This record gives sequence, structure tokens and C-alpha cells, in this order.
Amino acid sequence: MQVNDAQTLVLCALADGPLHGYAINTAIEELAGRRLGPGSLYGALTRLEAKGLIEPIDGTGRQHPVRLTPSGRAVLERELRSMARVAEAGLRRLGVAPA
Amino acid sequence: MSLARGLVRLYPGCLRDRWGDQLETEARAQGWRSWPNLVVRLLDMWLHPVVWPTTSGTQRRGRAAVMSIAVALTGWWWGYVLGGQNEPPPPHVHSWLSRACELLLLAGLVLVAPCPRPTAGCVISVCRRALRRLALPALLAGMVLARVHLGVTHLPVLVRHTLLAGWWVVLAMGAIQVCHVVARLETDIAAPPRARRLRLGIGLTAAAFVTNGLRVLGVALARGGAEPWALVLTVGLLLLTITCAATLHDLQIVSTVD
Repeated sequence: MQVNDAQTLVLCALADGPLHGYAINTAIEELAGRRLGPGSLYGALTRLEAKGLIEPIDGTGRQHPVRLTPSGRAVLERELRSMARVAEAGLRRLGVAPA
Repeated sequence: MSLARGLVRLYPGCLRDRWGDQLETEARAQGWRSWPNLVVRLLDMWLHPVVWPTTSGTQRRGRAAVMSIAVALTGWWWGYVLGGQNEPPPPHVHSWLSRACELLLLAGLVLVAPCPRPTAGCVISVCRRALRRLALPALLAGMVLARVHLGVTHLPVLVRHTLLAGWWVVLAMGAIQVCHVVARLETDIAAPPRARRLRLGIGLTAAAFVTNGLRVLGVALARGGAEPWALVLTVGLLLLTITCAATLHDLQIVSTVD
């Protein structure tokens, strides 16, 4: 996965707790500065569910909230640590102090 | 009906059941700028049936089987229409390789095909559905063949070409109906192949496409250069090989969940 990968962004958005699709995209907009296209968002949700990284919880009406599974939390943590290592090394080489 | 709603309706049924309302709400909120994204992801989702929402691994394998059969029949039809019209007639130095490709494709189809449960009722049910679906293509194919056997050399060129195009359409109809029959088989009537058999079948199908693509290019080069029909056929087979590889990849990533 990459930092702008739709699946990583969705996992990050869900790190705080369960959300439904529209709220996930709002959280992504706050995180990355842009909303995912509807096809990309629900394609990512479909794939993450197939991989067992997110799961549905009981929703109301037309909303179907989802949450991270323990496996999804572990994958997200691993990915973020890996990205942080790369970012830190890159900034050091540039002579810039990490934020 | 808005275009966004129309596009959402083209998504696979199980995806619409799960996300349809939210997908449409998001598409409406983003307006026309979301349409290209909806179209690209629509194609993406139809090419990846293994990741669609489901309640069981059996259903996933069933979908992968249908996908594999559809891809195999598409490759066979594509090769028949393009290769059959342009390749030199046998005996040819590549004819044994052509036979090997057909055998690989056939083996792939046999391996991915769901097996009817071993009871008379299940076998009869499968046969009845196949007969119902394939009756019309078989009837039309019979009509075209009968006309050809009556002689076509005296017919105008336009009529001969129409007969040929009709034959191709009938074959495509038959292939589509075979996919319909397999897609609508319930698991209590026919069991989808087990994971290893399924992967082997898809792998053989991909191997058949790669071998056939290389063979077609070889034939074209032997005739003095890569002709357009050979390039088109090879690119088509390459795309189908990539589809097989994507299905194998999807089966791999969902295997830990199932």
C-alpha cells in the first residue's frame, strides 16, 4: 500500500472508530485534502472487507457503518510504521528535521 | 433518472445491495466529476468478482469459476474469429502447437467447471437448465450449418458474409448462455471447484492464452511481418491473461479470510 492508496486512507479514517461511507470520505478529505471518487471509495471498502481488514456493524436506515478488525488494525499499524521509517530516512537525507 | 444513478445500476447486484444507496449519494454530492471514476471502478469491479461481498468462500469460488469460464470462452471465440480467418490452412508447422493450446484451454475449462452433485435430480436439473439456455443458439447454429451444406458458392458475397457473421454471433450467444447456466447453479445442485483445482484451471487457461499468443505472432512473422490481425489477437489474449492473473491474485488475498 502507499500513502495515497485508497485502501490505506480508508483504514486511517476508520482508526478512530466505526464510520459509514460518507463520513469516511469526509475524514479522508480532512486527512488528505481531497475526497475519493465514489467508485474508488466503495471499491476500497469492498476489497478491505474481502481481505478481512474491516467488518460491517449494525446500521440504521441506508447507512452501513464499518469498523476495523483486529487484523485491519495490525495491517494499518505496520503500514504506517513502514511509511514513517521511509519518511524519516528521506527527511534526514534531505537535511530536514522530521516534523 | 440521472446518469450517476444509471451508472450505479450497472454495478454488480451484490455491490448495489450493500453500497448502492451510499454510492449514489456520494456520486450525487460530487456531481459530474465523479462519473469517470464511477465508470473506471465499474469495470474494475466486474473484472474482480472474487472480492464482491459474500457470506461464504464457496460463493467466491463459484464466482471465480464463472469468471474463468467467461474469460476462457472469450479467448476461444476471439482466436476463432480472428485466427480462423487469417491463419494459413493446415498442415502448418504450428498446427501441433495450436492443438496443444486447445487442449490446455479445454483442460482449464474442465477443471474450473462446477460438478453437479452425484444425484439423478441434480444432474437432470443441470441438463434441463443447459438445454433451456442453449436451445436457441443450437437451433440457429443448425440453421446456419444447414444453409452452408446446401452450398454457398453461388450466393452473393454479401449473403456469404452475413452467414459468416451470423455463425460468429451464434457462437458468442452460446458462450454467453454457458456462463449464464454456470452462474445460476446453486451450490446444492453443483459444487464449485475446490481452491487448488480452481487455481490450476485458471493457470492452465492463462498458459493456453500465452502459448497461443506466441504461436500467432510466430505464424505472422513467418509470413513476413506482424500483420494487424495477429497483433490484435495477441493483445486480446494478453489482456485475457492479465485477467486470469488478477483472478488468481484475488483468490490469494481472500484465501486467509475464507
